[in-house]
Amino acid sequence: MGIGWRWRGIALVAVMALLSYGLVQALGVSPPDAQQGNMIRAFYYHFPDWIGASVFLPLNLIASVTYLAVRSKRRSLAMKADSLALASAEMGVVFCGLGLLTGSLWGRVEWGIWWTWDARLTTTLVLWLIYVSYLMVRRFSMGSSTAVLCAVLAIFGFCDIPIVYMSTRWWRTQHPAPVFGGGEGAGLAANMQGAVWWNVLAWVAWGALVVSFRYAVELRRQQLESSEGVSRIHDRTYQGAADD
Amino acid sequence: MTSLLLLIRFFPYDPSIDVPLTRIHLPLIYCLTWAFHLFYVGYIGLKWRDLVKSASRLNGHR
Repeated sequence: MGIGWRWRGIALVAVMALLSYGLVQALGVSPPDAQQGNMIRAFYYHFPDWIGASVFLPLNLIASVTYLAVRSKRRSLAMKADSLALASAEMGVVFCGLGLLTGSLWGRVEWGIWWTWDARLTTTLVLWLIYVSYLMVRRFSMGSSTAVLCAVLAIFGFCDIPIVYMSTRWWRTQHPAPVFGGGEGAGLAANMQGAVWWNVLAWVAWGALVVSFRYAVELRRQQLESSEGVSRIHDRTYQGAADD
Repeated sequence: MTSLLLLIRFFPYDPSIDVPLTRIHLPLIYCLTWAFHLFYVGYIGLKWRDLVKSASRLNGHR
């Protein structure tokens, strides 16, 4: 099982150190907010969820398009692309689901409600459901065309991401205006920036590491399945020749 | 239960500026984030274990 355990071990130590530092920044260093009090600290774990989803779901798109482009010409690369598509979709679903969950917990405190059907929340829920359906098709569908179907579904699923991003600009929503790039009055105080960006860095690094593990496992599984198929064909041919 | 209460103490809470729900919801956000990520890593571990079993079965078959 040569999936690079040594460098992944070193990376794991580095990522855990980053996450610990991010936690200290979020709970210890950053001051409470004038309006939200200590609930602002929810943002330090909520925002990285969306950055994570914004990294890994587009990665799923790139891998899916690559798979569709090379599947009949370069089998090895296609297998790698398909494995990466699965790993990045799973990580994207984890981040997106956590974004919805942490947002709901924050909303109950700040808005007094768990959920509202506004444009940002609804398009995000649709996005999560699309990628959950993508994973379900991968898990339960049988046959050689599963990977192609999933790659096409990934392209359609990605179309929702720009809509989610622009939803707070296109429509009036309950969701707050973007903290970064949200125009006049937006942004965070300088003494809160560290907590935000250290946690973004730490969770994206964590996501990349976990994706690399999942990718290695899935790639090895596909290689094994492929060699098992070849072995069966070989056995049957050998048995057929012996019968003759 | 005592350890859970100790965990909650770890999270900053000031009754003069925070609403009571913050005491529960803020720790929940942090704990659930870690729990889901670790659960997913556990799932990958199970997948890896299945893979090792399949590989050894295939090698035995050969």
